[in-house]
Amino acid sequence: MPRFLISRLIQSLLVLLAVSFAVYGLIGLMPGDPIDLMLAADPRLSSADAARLRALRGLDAPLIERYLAWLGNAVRGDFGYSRLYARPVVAVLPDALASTARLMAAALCLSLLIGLPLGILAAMKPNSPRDHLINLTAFAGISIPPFWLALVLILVFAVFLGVLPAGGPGVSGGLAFMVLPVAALTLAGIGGHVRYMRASMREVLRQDFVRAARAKGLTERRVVFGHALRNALLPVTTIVGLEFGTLFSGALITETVFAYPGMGRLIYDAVMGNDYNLALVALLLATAATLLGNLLADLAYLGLDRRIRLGGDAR
Amino acid sequence: MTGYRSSAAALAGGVVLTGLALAALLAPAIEVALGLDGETVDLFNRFAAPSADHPLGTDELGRDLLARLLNGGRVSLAVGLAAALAAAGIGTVIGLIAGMRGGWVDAALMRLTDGVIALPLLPLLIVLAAVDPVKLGLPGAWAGEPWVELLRIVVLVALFGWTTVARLVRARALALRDQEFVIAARALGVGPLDLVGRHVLPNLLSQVIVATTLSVGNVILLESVLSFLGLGIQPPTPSWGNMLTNAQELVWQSPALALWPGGLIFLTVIAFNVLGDGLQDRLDPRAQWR
Repeated sequence: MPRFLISRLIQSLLVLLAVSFAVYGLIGLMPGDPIDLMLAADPRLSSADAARLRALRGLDAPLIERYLAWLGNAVRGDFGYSRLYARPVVAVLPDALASTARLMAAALCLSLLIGLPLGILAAMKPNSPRDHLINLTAFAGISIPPFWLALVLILVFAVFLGVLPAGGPGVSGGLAFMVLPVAALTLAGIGGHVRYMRASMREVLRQDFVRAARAKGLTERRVVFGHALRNALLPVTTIVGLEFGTLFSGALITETVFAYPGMGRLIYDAVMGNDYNLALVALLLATAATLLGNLLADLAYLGLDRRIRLGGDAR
Repeated sequence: MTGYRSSAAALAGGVVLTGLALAALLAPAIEVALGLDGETVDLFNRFAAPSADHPLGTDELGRDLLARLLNGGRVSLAVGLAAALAAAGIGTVIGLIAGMRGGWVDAALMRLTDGVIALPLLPLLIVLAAVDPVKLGLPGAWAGEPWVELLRIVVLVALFGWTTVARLVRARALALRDQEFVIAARALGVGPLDLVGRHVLPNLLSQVIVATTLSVGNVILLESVLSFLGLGIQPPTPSWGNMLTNAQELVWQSPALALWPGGLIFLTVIAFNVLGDGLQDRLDPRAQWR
């Protein structure tokens, strides 16, 4: 177990390092560099000045050298300044992280609270009208374009009914600003949870120990909630673990449409606004959160299912 | 597994998709037949209500909405299908190599797959989509060419979309590799390429088709998201995604502009998902139990 944990942590760190190099290289391929931006801001600068500035800032050095310099600073906790916010990158992130965590946690809890019971209900009576209705709703949930769902919610509740704000400062502006983003994310999340729960429960209900429990004369309710549920929740835990990463990486589209000040929108703004330092760190944070979610999912599975032994040679 | 009703839903999905595909294919003919023009800007006729001239009204530049929806559908469906097929192709090749070769090749390819799956898809796609093709060394004359735009999105999506098929194909290839007819073929001296092409591939093709069908919906969603954010298909070429870019600011003036393209994306994606699910039930060996 500790060996598994250590090897997975090292693996995740390697992926993170590879991603940081790839993203660093990609950012260099985006239109415009910091000196281009300075040139655009000051027409008196000549191209000789630009070349001098590039040399001064080390921007003419080979990619690998620049990357190693960045990495050296990053390891010491220096991630540079954010161009958009005119503050150190590390000072910009905590607010966005807190906003995103609140938004995503609320949406995740709600969609689990609604989705899992619906999935169980559907699985208990396969092929009934109830099952088909729930299943179709779940399909609708996973098929709806997230930005369009957000637009429709704005259209109904902000434009037609005028009862909720169309977007704004998040929780600092009052809970009303949270309602529509949370609703959009919850509606989009329910579908997946219903489908996983339903599939997993149906799988378990086919197994022999369930047949034995039924033969013993237990009520269907006791069979499902007393015997099957624990086992059926196993694969679902994995999914929730994977979604744990989104608590910190945020929901890029929903946050952008609702102008919600979270990590997703921060990444979008940073990439679009040529804020390279911020974009790089925010992306790495999102990647680290996703990798951590994957690791947690595996650990949860390991902890819950005694049949699995993960070791160095598990595969 | 869900039997009759599921097949009915899959059939409905198939019918909807056929209708949408026909409308997209025949878009130029429909435009001519109805006398529509989705490209001419008519600023005196912005946000027009539906009328005989403009069955669904006009957009913020006075262009006919129906004509733009038809042409946008052409683009969105073509990109969705092409990207899903490209991803399936990459996934099949990687899965076959991993499953048939085994050993360290398999381990390396599967670690790569795990790594790609563990990445935050959308933020990275946005960075990739923002990359300047000229700095990448592509000819500057290509910039803005519609077919380059389409190809760019197909490549971007395929780059991340191959993992599901790769895992599926690898698992099937591992199982098939040890079956008697494959061992027999190998013993008869069938070469590796023939072995894969004649004996292994045909036996896992149906699963690949199902997985691809299920992924087309997701790919269309991804394209629409990128285009909505201004990083996908570039105007004036319409796609259902980029038709929604301006719709957000205009939602107060003309809700129809937001409702139609998004509604069509929704319809297309749900149809692909239901169809794929129905096909999957057909393939599930346990389906014969009920």
